[in-house]
Amino acid sequence: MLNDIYTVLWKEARELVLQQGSPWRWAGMQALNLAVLGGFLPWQFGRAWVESPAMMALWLWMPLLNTVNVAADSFAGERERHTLETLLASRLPDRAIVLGKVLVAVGYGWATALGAALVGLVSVNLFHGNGEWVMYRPEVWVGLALLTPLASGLVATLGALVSLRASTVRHAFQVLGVGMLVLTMGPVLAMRYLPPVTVDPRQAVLVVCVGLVAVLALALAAAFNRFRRTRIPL
Amino acid sequence: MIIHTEGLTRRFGTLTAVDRLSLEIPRGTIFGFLGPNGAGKTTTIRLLLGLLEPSGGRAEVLGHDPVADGDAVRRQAGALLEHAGLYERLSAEANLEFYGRIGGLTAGERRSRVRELLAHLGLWERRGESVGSWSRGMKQKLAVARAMLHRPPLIFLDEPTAGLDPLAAAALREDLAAMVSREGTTVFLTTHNLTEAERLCSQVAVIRQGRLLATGRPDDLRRRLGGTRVEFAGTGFTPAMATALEVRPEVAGVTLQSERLLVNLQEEAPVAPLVSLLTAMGASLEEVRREQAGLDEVFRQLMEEEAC
Repeated sequence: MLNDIYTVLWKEARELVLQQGSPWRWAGMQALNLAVLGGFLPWQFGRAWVESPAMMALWLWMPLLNTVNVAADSFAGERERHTLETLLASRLPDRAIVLGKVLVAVGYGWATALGAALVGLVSVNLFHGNGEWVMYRPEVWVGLALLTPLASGLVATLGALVSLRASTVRHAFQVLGVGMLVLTMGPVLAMRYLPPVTVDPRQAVLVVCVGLVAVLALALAAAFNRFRRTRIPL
Repeated sequence: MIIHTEGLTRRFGTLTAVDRLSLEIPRGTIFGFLGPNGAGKTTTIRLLLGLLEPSGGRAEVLGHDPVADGDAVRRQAGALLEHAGLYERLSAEANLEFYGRIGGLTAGERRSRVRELLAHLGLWERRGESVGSWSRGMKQKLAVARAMLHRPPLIFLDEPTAGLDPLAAAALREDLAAMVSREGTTVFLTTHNLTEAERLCSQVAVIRQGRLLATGRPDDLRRRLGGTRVEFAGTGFTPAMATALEVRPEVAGVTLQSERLLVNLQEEAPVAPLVSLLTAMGASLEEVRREQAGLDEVFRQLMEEEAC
């Protein structure tokens, strides 16, 4: 099973890197992303980029953009490019296909967030350090290590679920776009109308982590259940 | 039997795509599954690979039920389906590498097998190119290689030469025949190209609107259904002669052309009485040629019978 997951990951990663036509062009796009998210924005925000607890939300949200792109393409892209039927006709187990596709989306989103966080840290220290070393709060590191992959995992799994039935990548992306809007604006609106409470950041991270694990487990179970070779539109 | 089906049926709403199909396919054969577009060929392959559930009947492929034990079927089968199914951003080598990993080949086996297949198909020099830049013929060849990569005992080929120009189709047919004979694989080949079926297949079945019309060896079908065709070349042929021939019991059909008269005979009927009749009616014969009816005529006849 692990070998099969790795095989799907191997293929998905190659396809991802070659989606712009050449790996160099793809690397250039990633470098540009990092320059904006890890260079320009931290330079503009100043020390708040590193010190403000509110930035936690950014590390949760940022990787989702990349994750959602990859997840939308996961099955609908194969369907559009007429490779899905051949993949399903292979001996790969259902779960290996789903997990391989979800993991590559998670990995991409997470790697982008970690990269941006590290480059951002260097940028803030370079431009706004004023001779002292500025460091993220411990909750931010925990968030990057746990919350970011969990949130990416949830979005990737929901994305794969949508992509499984979507006729085109565009269709999957439209549905996921609305979902993302609800997912990001929902908590913001909720916080606006809920009475203000003082939350310990560590407790908050823990609660969100547990919640995400539970929802992710449910989403994965739904994805495994919905992935039936005989019912997937080809 | 490597494939055995009994009353296999698949309905999509009110449409019956496969209708009580019963087949027996022995190991080591190239089995041609013939039918016009929309006859149910692709649906049958999907049923046999466990990609669709039947609405009725049952199938056994490689000793397994494709519904209950689809993984076991897919583990031992290779497939080139309706589309080549190649990852066009990846190179030919990476495409085969991926399916080699899926097939459980070790790194060493993958390297040697990929080289062997690509070299055999004349694609080795271009192994590093992304498949998207290749011609359709090259892609189809690569897809055949992919289907055979892990040496499965059974491969499904769904219209492998569809959309290819005649030269590319002939080249692919040659490669396919050579590879199959070398590897001893059983092939389930769907096609509406009768020349292809005639050249490649040791057994054929004809299907239309999901129903099996005939099955057997191409020679047997030709004998049983197509009979013999006699071509009379000369001058002075008239519609009256055609009518006189048509009423004879051994004659299945007559086609009158400017200086030719084509007569389909029911079985191994003698030609001499027809020659006498034509000369008596004033025809001047220069040549009489007798030949076995082609599979295309058998196919046409089956389609016409079914339409009636």
